[in-house]
Amino acid sequence: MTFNTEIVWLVISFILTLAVFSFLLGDNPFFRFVSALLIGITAGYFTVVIIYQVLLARLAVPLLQGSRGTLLPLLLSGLLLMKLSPRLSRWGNPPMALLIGVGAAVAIGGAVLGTLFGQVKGALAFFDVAFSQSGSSRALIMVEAVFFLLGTFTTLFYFHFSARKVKGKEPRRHWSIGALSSIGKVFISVTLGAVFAGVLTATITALVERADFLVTTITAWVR
Amino acid sequence: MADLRCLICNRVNDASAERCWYCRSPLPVSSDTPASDAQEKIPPSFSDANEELRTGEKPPDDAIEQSEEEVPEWLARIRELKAQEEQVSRQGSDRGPGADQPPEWLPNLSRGELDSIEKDQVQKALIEDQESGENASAETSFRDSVARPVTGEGVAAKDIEAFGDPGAADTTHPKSAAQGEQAAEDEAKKIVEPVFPIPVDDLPDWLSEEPDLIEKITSKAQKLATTAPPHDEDELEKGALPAWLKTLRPLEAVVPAASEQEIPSSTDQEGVLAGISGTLRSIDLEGRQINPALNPHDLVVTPAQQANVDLLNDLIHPASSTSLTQPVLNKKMGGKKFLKAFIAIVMLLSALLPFLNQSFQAVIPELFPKEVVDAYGFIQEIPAGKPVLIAVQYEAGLAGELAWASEPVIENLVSRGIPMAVVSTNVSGYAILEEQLRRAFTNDSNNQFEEKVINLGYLPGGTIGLISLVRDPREAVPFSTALEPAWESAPLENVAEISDFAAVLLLTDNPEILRAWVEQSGRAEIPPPLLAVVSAQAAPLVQPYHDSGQIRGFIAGSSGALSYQMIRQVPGKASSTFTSYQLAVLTAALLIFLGGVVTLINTAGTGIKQKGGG
Repeated sequence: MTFNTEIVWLVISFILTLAVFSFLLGDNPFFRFVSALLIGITAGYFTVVIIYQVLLARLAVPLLQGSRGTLLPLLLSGLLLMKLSPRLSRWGNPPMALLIGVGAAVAIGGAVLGTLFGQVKGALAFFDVAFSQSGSSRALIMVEAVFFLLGTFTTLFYFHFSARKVKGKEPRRHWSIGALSSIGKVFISVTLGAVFAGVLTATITALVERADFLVTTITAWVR
Repeated sequence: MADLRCLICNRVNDASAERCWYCRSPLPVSSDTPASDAQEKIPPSFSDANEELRTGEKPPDDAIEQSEEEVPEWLARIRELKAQEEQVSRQGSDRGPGADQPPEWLPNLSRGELDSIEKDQVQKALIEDQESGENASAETSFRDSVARPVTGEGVAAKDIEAFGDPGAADTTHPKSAAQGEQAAEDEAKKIVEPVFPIPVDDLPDWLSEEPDLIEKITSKAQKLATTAPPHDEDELEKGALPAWLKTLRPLEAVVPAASEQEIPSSTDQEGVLAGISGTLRSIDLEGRQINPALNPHDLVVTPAQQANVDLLNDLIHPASSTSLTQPVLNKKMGGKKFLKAFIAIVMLLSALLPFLNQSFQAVIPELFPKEVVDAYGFIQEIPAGKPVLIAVQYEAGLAGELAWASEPVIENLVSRGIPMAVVSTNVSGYAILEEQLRRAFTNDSNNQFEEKVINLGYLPGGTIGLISLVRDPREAVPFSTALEPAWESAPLENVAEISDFAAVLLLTDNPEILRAWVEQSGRAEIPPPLLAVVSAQAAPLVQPYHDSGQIRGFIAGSSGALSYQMIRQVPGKASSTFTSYQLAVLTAALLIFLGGVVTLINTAGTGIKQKGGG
């Protein structure tokens, strides 16, 4: 077996993987070492990336090339740094306000145009497809479309928390809203179950991937 | 150098000042100043006054009259007001017997309405106070029992002193007690009448035409004056707050020392944060959790809410929530540890067993998901020379799953010789993907990584960064990771806008990232087609975007990758490890099912025991 860097990394990966798995036996120094190593490496790596990918590539190089457009972000960044000092922190408010304001505007605009309109269009598209078909497939698609519509409406009704106040009694929702929200609850439960199953399978995939790595490494060493 | 006194506000100023520090009016010139210069600057009226100040002699009357004629109007008005104030204060200091007579307006206010007042109410109050045995005068009794309730603000007592009969106001006055009582009674009438009822003589025409209304107001005022209970001036009526508001108290109000507690800066000894100082430790949070002293009767808690509270309490205080003794508790905790270790070992074995024993065979799906078929079909239609933008954002912890999920797609792109540009919206993404791309190119001898791939690196700014990339990609990511001009490289030389990419392939473990891409790429004039490779945990939330046509196709997790490989008929990691994956998933499902059954039996058993005991 020739010595090369790949083998070194393989050995390191193998040892670190075993150290992480050792947490199954409880908290121990190996697991703590791996955790500290991960945090330290991540912090160092982030710093290097920020310097090279952001400060140099997006600030220093354009400034050296004579780009005046970079001066405004530089000024705002400088003001934002003043947030570190309690005495000067108010100077950091304008860039912070700009960030929050622009971020909120972008998020709201995107949600309305991208998701809300897009999903409404998608819900209508089911009916569109259904009408373009014929025979049994049309009926099937129509059933599917109605089912989707029912799920959407009833889920929205579940989040309708208004209730009528009756003297001497606890406030209660109208029976029709209660019934619709009960159906919505079923849809929400199914969705959350699907998300949980997804999380479980993602974790199992990670476990299988590590198991495969351990077996492959050991097999390679044995051979 | 002597100080100067302002002629307007009469305050002392520095001798060098030209204007008064307080009222900003011009100051007279100091005696030290050369007279010739100063006299030219100041007006004659000021100079005369200055002269008077200096010499201390009063100028003759005709001179004063002359100076008054010359003073400006504003100054004359100030002087006039000042003189009036001085006169009033002088009169107040040496006030004679005649000065204490009530002013003209007071009898006028009480005129015409005396008959309508129920005098016996006032007398009754006076008699009650006398009976209480206090050595207060009739005037004091009146204040406490009548005047305050009437005015509501306790102002009437001051009015009595200021404008009332001195004999009634002052108990030490040499008058007989009878005279004092009579005077107090008269005073009471005078005070009550001006406030309630409203003096009808002074009413406006529109209101005087409504006798019923006036009568109603008068009777109501009298009722208020006589029935309102006497209370302390500082005592305010307590507000009736709703129960939920009563429970919302600041912690400092309940436990004053709580706000002064500070979390000690210490180093964690165990857990994932072991060895790191300054972290927020759960043990500190437990110490700071203080149950506020609330009246439990004010807060209505439903059984469901109580169950949630108990659940949260179990999470925060796992040991203290039960009423078990220490040995039983230790046994229970030991049992939990054993169960945890058992589940972990079973899961690990189920993942490893198919690698060790080849007899296990997975059930391979025969139907392929529509989204995977759509993704494959779209990639197959991409022209060979048109680049694909691969956007990455996933955590390192899910890199294994996403590497497997994206493997067949990347291999497909590499085998078709499609140029690729990599951009990452988180710091670690592009480095992980570059490694994967290099591995894919090593398996393909026809294409070279350096010729086909350009790494644009990290795109900061989150959603705002995405917008800038969609609007002008050349400006958003001008350089590659090697700090070379990215858009002059071979893969991107024909790309000017985002729509020049054949597709945007998004690799993420977070459905929110996909949502952001869908929303922001839709802002482009010609939105680029979107494809996605996502973690299995994001699949349910990504599905609606495919159903609505906002993304062309996606591959979710290991099973999605297996389908793609089967469509391509090229095996990969997903197919070789699918047996292990399937067995582990089945084991997890079985464990969850068993856990549910055990919990059900336990609950039923507890219910039966409770019924039997009850």
